[in-house]
Amino acid sequence: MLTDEQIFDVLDGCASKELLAQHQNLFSESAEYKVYFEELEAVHFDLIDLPIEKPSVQFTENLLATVAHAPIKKKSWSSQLTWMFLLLMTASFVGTISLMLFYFSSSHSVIEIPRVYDLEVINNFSIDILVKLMILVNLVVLLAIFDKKVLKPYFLNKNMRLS
Amino acid sequence: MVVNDNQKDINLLNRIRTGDKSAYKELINRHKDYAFTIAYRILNNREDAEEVAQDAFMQVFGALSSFNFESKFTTWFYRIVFNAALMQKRKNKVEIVDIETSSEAVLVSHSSDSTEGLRKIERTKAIKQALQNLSADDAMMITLFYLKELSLGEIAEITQISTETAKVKIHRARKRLTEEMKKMLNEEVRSLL
Repeated sequence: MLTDEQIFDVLDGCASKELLAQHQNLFSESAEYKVYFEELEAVHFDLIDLPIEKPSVQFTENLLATVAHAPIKKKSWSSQLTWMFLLLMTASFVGTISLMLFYFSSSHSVIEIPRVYDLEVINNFSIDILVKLMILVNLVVLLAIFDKKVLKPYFLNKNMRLS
Repeated sequence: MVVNDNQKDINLLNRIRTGDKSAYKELINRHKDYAFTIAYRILNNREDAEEVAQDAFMQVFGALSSFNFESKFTTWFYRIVFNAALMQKRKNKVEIVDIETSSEAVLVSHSSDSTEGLRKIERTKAIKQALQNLSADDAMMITLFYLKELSLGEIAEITQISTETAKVKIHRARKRLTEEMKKMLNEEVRSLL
């Protein structure tokens, strides 16, 4: 007797020559195999002949009406998060390099940050706090990207997978 | 020059992206039957299947920017339909049996005539009923395999499993369907005695 998988291979037309010979041999000699094969064959051809289902006649019209009422959304800001982040980083990098070049070219010894006497708040603002704040912002943005690009697709995919 | 089916789909998608309204209709008409059939085989309910198919189209229109235009549209689209139908299936707590294809209807119709045409209709009804008795997973595998004669690779991509697993699942689903048909026929014979 052939296994079900082998019989389906015969029906699907992807059986090897050896398997086909074995099948023909069994088909002519074993009545039990013949009955079983014909049973599977009948189901196979029933499935081939199975018509496709038709939705209601208003399907297209209903859908087009929905499309008309809900125009295609533009890319949301969250989908552009990665690009925004990269752009911000590039701008920061270019800005830092420009500042460095500017101060190095004007003074060769010490980098002096000019004081803005009119704005006391800025002068009192500690560089240390500014750096920490920048790191924190970067960390938050990185976590948001990680969540959107890695965690959400992973869990969504896990939920969708066939049980 | 012969334009293949996928190229036609890609052309339609490009037209939709440029704002061509008629392209929507063409794309919907090309794929609505298959989308509906896939959803219906999983959900066994026409209203739900129609809603899922519509949602799937809306998802496609809303996510055109994320579609890789080098890959096959139908694979991407059927995956969307498949996922939407599975989600709907999970939402549905109560399973509603379609009266048209209920087992009672099949049994009643069996007692009518025995001409070749009618026998074929009855067998089709019986196989539809048997498909409804299968799990969503099995019904889906059979539908994808027979409906559009998708390759094992495509089925694997849609259902996000390996090709080998897809092959095994299709074999098992067909085997279970045969058993289901046999069971139904036995019940029918018992009811006639």
